[in-house]
Amino acid sequence: MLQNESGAVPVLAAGARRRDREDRRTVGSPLVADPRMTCRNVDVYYGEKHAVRGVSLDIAKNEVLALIGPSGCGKSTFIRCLNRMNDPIEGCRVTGDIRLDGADIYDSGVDVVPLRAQVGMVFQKPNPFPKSIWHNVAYGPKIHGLAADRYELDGIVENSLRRAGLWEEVKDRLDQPGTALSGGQQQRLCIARALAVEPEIILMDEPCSALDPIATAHIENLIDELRANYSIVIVTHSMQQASRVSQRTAYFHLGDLIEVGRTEIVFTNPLHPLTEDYITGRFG
Amino acid sequence: MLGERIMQKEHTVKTYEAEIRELNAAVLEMARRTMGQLEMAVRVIESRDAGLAARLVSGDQGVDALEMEVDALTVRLLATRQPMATDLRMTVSVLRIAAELERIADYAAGMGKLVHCLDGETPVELIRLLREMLDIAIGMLSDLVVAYQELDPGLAVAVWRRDEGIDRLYGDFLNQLQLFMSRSPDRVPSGTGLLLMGRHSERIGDHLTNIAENIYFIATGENLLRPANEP
Repeated sequence: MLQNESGAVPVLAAGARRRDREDRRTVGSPLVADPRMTCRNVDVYYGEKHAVRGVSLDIAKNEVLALIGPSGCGKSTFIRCLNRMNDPIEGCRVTGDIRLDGADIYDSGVDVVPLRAQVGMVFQKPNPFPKSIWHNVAYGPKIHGLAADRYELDGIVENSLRRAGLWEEVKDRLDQPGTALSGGQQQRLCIARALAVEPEIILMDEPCSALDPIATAHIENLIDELRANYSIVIVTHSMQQASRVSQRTAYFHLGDLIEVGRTEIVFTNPLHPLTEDYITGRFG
Repeated sequence: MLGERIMQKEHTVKTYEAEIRELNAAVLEMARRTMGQLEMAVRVIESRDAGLAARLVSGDQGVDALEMEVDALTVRLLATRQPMATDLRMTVSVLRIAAELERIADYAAGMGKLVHCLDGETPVELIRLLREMLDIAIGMLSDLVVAYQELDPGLAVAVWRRDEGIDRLYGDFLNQLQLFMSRSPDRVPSGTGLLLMGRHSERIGDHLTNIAENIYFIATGENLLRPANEP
């Protein structure tokens, strides 16, 4: 018979860590030791609708954080708070405290244009500008004054396309329209566009939902490489994708952040029954 | 159904639910047949009936066939459903439990092959110790079926502890066997067979503890022998 080192069976504490189904307080590890971004008690309202409820969550340096949950759970609303993409939505109100490197991003003095460069976003549907590949990438650095001349811009364009894994495929046709690329290439072009303005965090809202498996694999590989230099927050409906690309996973349900934890733990032994229901397909 | 106490909801995808039920049914049938093999091994030891021993040996094929069925169902589930959380733990653990059951049934059949070692000279005490080891094993397997169906980690641990009883009896068995064999070199051939029968019984207990550990893992996500806070 196998024994542990002390020769005794450990005292049984099975299920002691687990939450009651009705307890909607966040369980797990939403906070980290050295965060790049901090969110505390974040609530989002669309008029009377309370879409995100008291969410506290950190984004660590060099991590991929996956946000999962059923449609309408608040994950996309939450990610859009991180670079104030909800600001133009009429009736949308965000309360709480969100900080990037310690600075309040909702401070009245904050200019959202540079904020959205620091916290870039890649959307579900690739949305290249109706311009050339070169201009798609060069546009951001130009308006943010990141290059002194065309020579520097060329360098930024090449570097961004290389980091997005697209350079070899487009280097001989930079003057062609970005919209002429395949869906997967367009999405990598959008990632290159976000990288060109030197972000700290990249937000991705279902970036692969419109892509085939090969294009998805390219993006997932890219996400893994980008983690060396950036923090990435990805909203995905694919639990396999969340489990493949992220180091931490956060589960949202009806506006509440239910559970956050190391991805391998969340997908093998979640603490909250609601997380278990969702990831095993017992939702509803 | 497996763990109804914990898994209160059914899968949204009904075919997935059906496949998990099919896998559960296969491993439970395997446990039922293995139990039958152990009970038959007790009767063979007590009766020394060669015909019954032959049935015990041939009965192993049914358990082997079920193991192959569990293998196939598990691979299909992993490939097509990508199970998560409790479903994932259950699927991989069932694969391991089936392998343990197959080994237990092998040992039971092995005892059938050794029935010729039992004769009128075999000490009653050795027969008693063999039967007691197997009785404990049968009780353990019976309770493990309940622990599996109820996903009851406490019962799994309780069963796990009962292997100590088999180990103690095996120690007594070895002592008695040495006494028996030391009296005459003529007893070495039958004594060697008895030694293997005792060893088979002791190993059956070990495989049952492995099953208990797998049930504990399904129910808790933790390793019975390694606390959760260890890497």
